[in-house]
Amino acid sequence: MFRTRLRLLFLLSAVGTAVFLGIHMAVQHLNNVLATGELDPTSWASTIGRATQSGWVVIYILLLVFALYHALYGLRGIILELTTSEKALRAVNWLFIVGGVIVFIWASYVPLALMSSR
Amino acid sequence: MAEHASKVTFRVQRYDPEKDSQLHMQEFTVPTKRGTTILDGLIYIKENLDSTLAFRTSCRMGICGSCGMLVNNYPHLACHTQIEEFHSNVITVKPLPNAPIIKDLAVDLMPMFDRHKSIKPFIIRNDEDEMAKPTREYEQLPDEVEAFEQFSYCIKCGICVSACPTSASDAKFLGPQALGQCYRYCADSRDAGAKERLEIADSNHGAWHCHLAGACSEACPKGVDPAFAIQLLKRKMAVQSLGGGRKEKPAEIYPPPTETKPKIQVPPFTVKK
Repeated sequence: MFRTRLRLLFLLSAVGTAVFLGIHMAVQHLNNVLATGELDPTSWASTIGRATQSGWVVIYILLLVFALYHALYGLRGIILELTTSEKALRAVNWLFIVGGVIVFIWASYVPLALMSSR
Repeated sequence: MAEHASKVTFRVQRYDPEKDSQLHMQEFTVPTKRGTTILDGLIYIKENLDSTLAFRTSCRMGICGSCGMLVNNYPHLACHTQIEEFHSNVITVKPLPNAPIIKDLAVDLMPMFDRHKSIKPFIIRNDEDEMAKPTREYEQLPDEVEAFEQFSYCIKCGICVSACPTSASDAKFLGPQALGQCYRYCADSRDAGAKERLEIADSNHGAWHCHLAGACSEACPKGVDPAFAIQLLKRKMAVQSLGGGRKEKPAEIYPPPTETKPKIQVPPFTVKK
């Protein structure tokens, strides 16, 4: 049932992406409604400011994990439908695993580095 | 009421692998009347106009699933489809897509049957002695029959597979027919083989590859709903992967009949033998 578990994670990551992206979008664009107190949440200074808070770093890293998994698994599904070669599929699997890990380290480095430089 | 006879043009796709390098269309004029089916038209062509036309047919009553073909670009059973349904004087007939053509309208359904066989479409039990030499029926309540009944109406005509967009793009996809039957046997209370069947459906080209287009259910001439079966199968797989699933044993055989004494004594015969 390995592929079923991967699929369930895909569904879970969709929910996670919707929740954390929702938080991100709400804070960025519903400033007046939520009354967060920030003058311009989309400004560079506000973004850097959030990235130095551990709560926001956790939210952004979780959003990254969910969105990355959802995107790569979805793309793999499309490629899987276009090729019947098991060899090609194995290559795609490894490419996505290695690529995903590299993108994750690269993208999570910035908020982690900012938080540690606080 | 006198039946109104008319003529219809059949545009039939022809292809003989021994002679033709590519597919081509050929037109035939066929007399029709009320109730004439596509299959009647094809039989008329074969008997009167061109005996080399190849198509598959057997029961002529929508039971055997032999005469699936593309009529006016939609998959139908030729014996189950009347010409007047199309309200057109031109009927285009092509072989089912998503299957290799043998000749003209006859396609090779073996890949579909192989996929069907791969999901173990039979009752799997642990009581091997009873399976080898059955003594009695297995107990099954009406509700338990209802859980899989509609999926057992599948006649393996291949129409669902020909309508499926995933089968069109992924040659290894198990397809709505096999996956629907996979659920049919997993849902059977007499069966104990769900675990091994679900492992097969869990493959790269298995149930999770279904996009739920629903074309299979719409096209099925027997009213089976393979798309729904696949959704139920996915649920079974998800539950199984999380450690759930059916815990009760498969249905037992009926207990042996017991000898009972009649409560009311039957009066003796008044007329001696």
